[in-house]
Amino acid sequence: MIEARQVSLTIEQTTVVKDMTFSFTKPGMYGIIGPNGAGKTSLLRLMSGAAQPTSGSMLLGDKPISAYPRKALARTMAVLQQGGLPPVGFSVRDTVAMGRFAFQGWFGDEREDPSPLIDSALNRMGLIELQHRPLDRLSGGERQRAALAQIMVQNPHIMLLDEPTTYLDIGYQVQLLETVHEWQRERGMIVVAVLHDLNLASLYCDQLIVMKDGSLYASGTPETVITKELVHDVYHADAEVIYTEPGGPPQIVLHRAGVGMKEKPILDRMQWIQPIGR
Amino acid sequence: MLLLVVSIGLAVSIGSAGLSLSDVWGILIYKITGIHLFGDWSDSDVAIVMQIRLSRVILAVLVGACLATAGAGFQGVLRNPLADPYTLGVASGSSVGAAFIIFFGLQSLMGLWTIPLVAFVTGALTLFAVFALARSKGAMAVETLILAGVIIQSFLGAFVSFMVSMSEGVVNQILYWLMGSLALRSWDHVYMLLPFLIVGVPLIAFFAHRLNLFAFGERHAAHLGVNVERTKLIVLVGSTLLTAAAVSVSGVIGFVGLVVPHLLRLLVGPDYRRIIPLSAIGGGIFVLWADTVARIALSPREIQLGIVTALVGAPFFALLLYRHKLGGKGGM
Repeated sequence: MIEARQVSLTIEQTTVVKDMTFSFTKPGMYGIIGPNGAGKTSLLRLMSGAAQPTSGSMLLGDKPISAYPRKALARTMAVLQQGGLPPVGFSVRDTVAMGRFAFQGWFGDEREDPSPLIDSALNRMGLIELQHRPLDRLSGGERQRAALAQIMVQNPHIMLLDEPTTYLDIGYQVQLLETVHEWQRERGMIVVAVLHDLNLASLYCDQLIVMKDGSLYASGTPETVITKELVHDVYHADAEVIYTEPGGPPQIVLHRAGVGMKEKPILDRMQWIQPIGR
Repeated sequence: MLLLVVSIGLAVSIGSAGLSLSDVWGILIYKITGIHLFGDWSDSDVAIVMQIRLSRVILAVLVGACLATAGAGFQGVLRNPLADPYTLGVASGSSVGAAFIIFFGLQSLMGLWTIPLVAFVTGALTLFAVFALARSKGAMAVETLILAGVIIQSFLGAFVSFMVSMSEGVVNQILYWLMGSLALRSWDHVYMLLPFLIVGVPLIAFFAHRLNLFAFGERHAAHLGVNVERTKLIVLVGSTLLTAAAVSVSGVIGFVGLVVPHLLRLLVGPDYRRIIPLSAIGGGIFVLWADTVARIALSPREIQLGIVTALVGAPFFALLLYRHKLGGKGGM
């Protein structure tokens, strides 16, 4: 479990995370949402141990994260960074195999052969056919799948995802989160994901944390958190909240800024996109 | 490896003293096995082969191995295939120490060891200076480190040029040193360099696995369980030791640490577990042949080794770069 006790982070006199207290104790999908610059990525960096809190403490189990050696931490916690993997020359299979680093001895050896684990991760992410292709010859979406396969072989208990769906089209966004969700349920993991898309966050997360200006603004289930008022107050955007099925997760539909639903009829605007010269 | 052995054999056989192939090999076989198999030679011939040629050939191999391994180490840590011992200013740092000693005529201070020791100390100091310049908030960013290296390097370059222009009679000696040469080196230099190689190369090879993970970025490597700061420190210090040791016996020889690992990367892929040991061997072969050319091209006069490696290395590197560009977007 991860617990934040009055955690603050100040970088060059700017407080990017302010006095946040929360804990993720039960297995589940936890979403962190909020506008740009709200401190979501900074919060994730605090959880991953990439940054140390200026005050307060970030605990994993009952010890502060900084008390864990890197290798021990990597055996419990896997991190998918924003932007995914760079286009290097390693093959997909080699890349995924490197996820086993934390379980290897001094000479890169492992007690049990990790190949079945690697095969199953490749299979799951649909990368079997691409396994011998170098990363620099993959599309952004394929690289993102390779990145997820790499942390899959880490067999983590906790997984931190920083905007895992960036660069993916909506089909892949849904597919990726579906895979993560299924895998989370199977292994009983704690998955914490920074998500930009409120609708995806609402679809896949059990709990949401809303950040604004570095502070905890709201938290709870998607039904309690995602409201017209919250979208207005936090994002300064006008939206309707709709339910596509009774008891299902809320979804938002946007209005144009300050105009509301009563807009110019669509036909009016169509005139602007008539091809010239007809 | 086989190529290395063959290269050593050929290089020993070539020289300006006009010994026949059978004489050279007869001497070698006699010295190694104690059997006088063939050839007709004098004591001075034995001295030429054993004291001058063989020591020089071995030294060329060792220097090449040090420089190429150091280059591979720096590249792994900096995640930049164009980085090499010189990017960090370490070689310049070592040469400043050497030039200083020559300019003030202090060679006699500690005998044969004076120049290497001082070069090593100034090389290491340069590394610390670069680190101090690059380090902020306890961490070293890759870009800042290269920038700091370039700044320090240009400062030290000016310093060396100043000393050269201030000195009268010893200009040649300093130039000789700065262009790199293996002339007038002996077995003592081999024994001086060997311990660094024996410690340094396995040390860096030991971290090859971690350097592979570095390719994905430092933070990513950390999340996969690598102790990033410790790996950087050990590999950088190891590479600096190798560089300083090589510069100490041969002066500044460019392009070895740059070309050899890069060429190997194109041949065997990005895996540092292969690149590092192969760099040691490939660097040895590269410098050995460059030195053989330096010895015999204008025989009996010698060209500076640094000139040969630059003449061969620079166009070769440009070609590699061009091909690499044609072959698609870079990566590592």
